[in-house]
Amino acid sequence: MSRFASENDRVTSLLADAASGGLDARSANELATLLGPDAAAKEIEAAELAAAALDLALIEEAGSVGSLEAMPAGLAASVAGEAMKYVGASANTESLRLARREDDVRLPAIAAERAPATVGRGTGGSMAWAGWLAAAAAIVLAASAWLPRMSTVAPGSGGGGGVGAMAQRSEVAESAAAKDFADSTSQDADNGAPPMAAKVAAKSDARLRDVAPAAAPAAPAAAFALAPPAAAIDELKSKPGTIEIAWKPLPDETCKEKCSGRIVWNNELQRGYMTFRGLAVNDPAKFQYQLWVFDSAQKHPIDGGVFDISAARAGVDGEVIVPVVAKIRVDSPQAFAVTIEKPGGVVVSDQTRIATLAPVTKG
Amino acid sequence: MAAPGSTPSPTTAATSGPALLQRIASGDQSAVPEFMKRYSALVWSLARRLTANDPDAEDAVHEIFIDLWKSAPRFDPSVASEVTFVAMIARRRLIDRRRRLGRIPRMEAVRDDDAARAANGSAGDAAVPVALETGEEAQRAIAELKNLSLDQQKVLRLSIFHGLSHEKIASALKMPLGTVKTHARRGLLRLRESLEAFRANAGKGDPAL
Repeated sequence: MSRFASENDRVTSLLADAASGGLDARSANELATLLGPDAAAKEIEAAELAAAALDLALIEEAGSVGSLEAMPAGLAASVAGEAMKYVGASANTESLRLARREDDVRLPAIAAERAPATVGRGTGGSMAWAGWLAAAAAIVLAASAWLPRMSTVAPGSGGGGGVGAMAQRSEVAESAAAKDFADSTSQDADNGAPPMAAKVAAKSDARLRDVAPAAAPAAPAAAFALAPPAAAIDELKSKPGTIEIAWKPLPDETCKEKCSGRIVWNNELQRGYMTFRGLAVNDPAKFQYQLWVFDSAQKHPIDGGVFDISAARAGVDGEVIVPVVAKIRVDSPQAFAVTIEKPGGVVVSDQTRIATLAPVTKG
Repeated sequence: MAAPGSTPSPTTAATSGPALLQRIASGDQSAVPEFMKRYSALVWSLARRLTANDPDAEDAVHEIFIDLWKSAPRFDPSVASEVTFVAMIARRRLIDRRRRLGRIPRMEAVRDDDAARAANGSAGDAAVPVALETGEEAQRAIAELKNLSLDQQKVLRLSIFHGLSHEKIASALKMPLGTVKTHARRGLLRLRESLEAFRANAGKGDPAL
């Protein structure tokens, strides 16, 4: 048997193991070595999905014999109550941070996504984010009609100077997660945590997030999964209180003053979607887009989530749809901005690159 | 809660609109009760099947749903249907948990919980069957399974549905371990290729499937 065929057999054997009984650290490391961490994570997930589909099929085949059992009511109530820590406006960073500690370290990317202080910080004045809007206002025509509180803030002041102390998405968190992965998946904890195994664990969840898995490498950190269909936007727009604002294109090379689209947001539901046309496709390994929400009730911009633009994500008409995932509640949005950040996003943006802005006009 | 002996209305897939996971990802708390109604039985049944006892299953259920809430933004309907995604997350958690805790699946042990429940006359809604819309992927999977050899089918059923290790399957079927691994490998590979071809041709458009 050729070495290639032998390795191929070994890969499929490892993938079958991953889908049925899981891989220990050594096997995960081996698979990552054979395929590369990104590809290994992608392949594992494909195998897991196949196993899940088969499991569902066998449940259905079993009919009444293998039929499902209703979850005990008390357990269901407990689970549903716990959901509120993670879903919607009542979700808070503290709960997520605590949950992250207990989490299976297959999800180190989520740990990074849930980095503390999801609000961008600056050391400037009371409205630290005003510097953002001031800088953009100098570029965007007719800015004075919509910029909130700009009259009291000089361009470049406020948040601009303060973001020197930029919080990075913590590699310490990833290292801890990598160690936990090895401990949790290896029967022999003395073997330690092969770095490849941790990368596979991270990538295993990056696979599902990747909008076009065949088109782009798995992001090393959080990115949105495929956007919801346009129907979701129409449905949201039908709700009372929904606002819709067009993006104002900026000169950054990702937009070149030509990109367009809009953001649709509903405060009561804390739900929103962004659409884009003409925003440059990004390589998630090099940079990602990040949404910021400027809320008059907050001193600092609210992290609205990291996302990617890929050709495969665009619909037949070239429009890309991205859900908004605000890390804390948005009460009084004044503007939305999309920046270009390093992979995984940042806790505090240095504001050097802004792709587009959407000011909330008072009607 | 249905009375014992009755059959609750089967869960049904939404025919339009965003998938529940997408609504959950966008922070729509109103999607949670519907999500629980649709998938709680599936998750609970998987947990009971792949854990050693009910307390273990309850712990596992909590872990699974936390993973689901946090994984919701990563659901991609072009890659898999929502029910398959839920089942995958559940299975992943249960397999990882089993590796961490070293527990054997319930199918190999006496079902003490069932016996105790029956003895106490407290079957409650645990005895009530719940239907599940498994979707087209499952249909495709069962069709492909039937294309496999009988031995491959046996190995996959014991491995995937019953959660047995390859060693235990080899012992149960009196089959060489290497043969068991070969059957599992090739069977799963064929299944995966069939599903990927199905997805590629189907061009999934309904995120709620």
